[in-house]
Amino acid sequence: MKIDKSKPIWRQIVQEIKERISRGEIVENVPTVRALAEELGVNPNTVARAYREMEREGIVESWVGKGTWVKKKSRDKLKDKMVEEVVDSFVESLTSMGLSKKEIKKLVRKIDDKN
Amino acid sequence: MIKIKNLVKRYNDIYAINNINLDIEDGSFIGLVGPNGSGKTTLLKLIFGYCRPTSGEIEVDGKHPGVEIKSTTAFYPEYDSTYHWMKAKDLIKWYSGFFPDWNKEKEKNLIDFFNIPTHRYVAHLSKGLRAKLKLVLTLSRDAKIFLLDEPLSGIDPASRANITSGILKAYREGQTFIFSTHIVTDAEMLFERTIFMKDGNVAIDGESDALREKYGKSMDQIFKEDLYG
Repeated sequence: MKIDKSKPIWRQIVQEIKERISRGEIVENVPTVRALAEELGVNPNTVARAYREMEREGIVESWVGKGTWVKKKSRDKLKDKMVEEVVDSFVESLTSMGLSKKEIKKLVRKIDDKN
Repeated sequence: MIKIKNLVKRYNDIYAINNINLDIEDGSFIGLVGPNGSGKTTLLKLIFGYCRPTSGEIEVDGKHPGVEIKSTTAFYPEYDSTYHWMKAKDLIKWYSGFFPDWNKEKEKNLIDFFNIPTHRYVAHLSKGLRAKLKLVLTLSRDAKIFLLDEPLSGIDPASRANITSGILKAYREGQTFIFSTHIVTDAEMLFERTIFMKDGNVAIDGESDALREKYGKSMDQIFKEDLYG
């Protein structure tokens, strides 16, 4: 993970963990605050803040002494959301090139036929 | 908790510290950033009790700087170690005897992490290794407050990451760290809060991530472009 020091670091950690979950790299246990802090070279309190935010969003849950866990439905939800984002930007860039929704649908159907 | 009220330190006609007010919460990791001569070292020395304020007040956990806080506060001085005639291991052993909060395990981990040849004489170590040895002497304690004066000064760029990783490894939640530096980019991700100093005063002070959001810049960019550019 490459951190951009000109943007809030805790937000970038939230984004990174979400991506790792949706890619299936994190299945159950989220790395401990200290392990991730040392991996990224950031203050542990910054990592803890990112985890608190993910807990607030309902993606993970923390238990004292057990660490932080991914909630069962989080992976599917995060994956759906990321797929949606990719589709949106795909449609948006084609629209900006002058393609209509109808033409885009046609293109997608073509992909289907090829496979 | 460190409370600083209307702090002034004057050397003849020069105000090294010119009316500073600060509250530092327990467990915060603070970057004290500024160019040489901005008052960073003087501020750390005043907190530790190496010198007395001209006026104003400092309280460290309700106590006065000096003898009362030595047992809970560790200080990393910028000047080079003066014990050149000792072997590194003998220096560590002798030094550790002064502190009941010495943590043997931390000492071992830090020596390993920094790869210090402790059988050698201090005089025969490189400048970088002597700085690392000084960090072992400071960070092996289970102190409550750590005042680190320019731990990156004189360290070549390639070794800076190693120094900051070592400091991060030694840091425990709940401890207060104040890390002064004029080299910002290698250390800024450790700082939860950054205090920028200019001409003996606090110029900008805030949670680092909040400052990143506000300025759209890194602490290093704020330092170079907004304060001293």
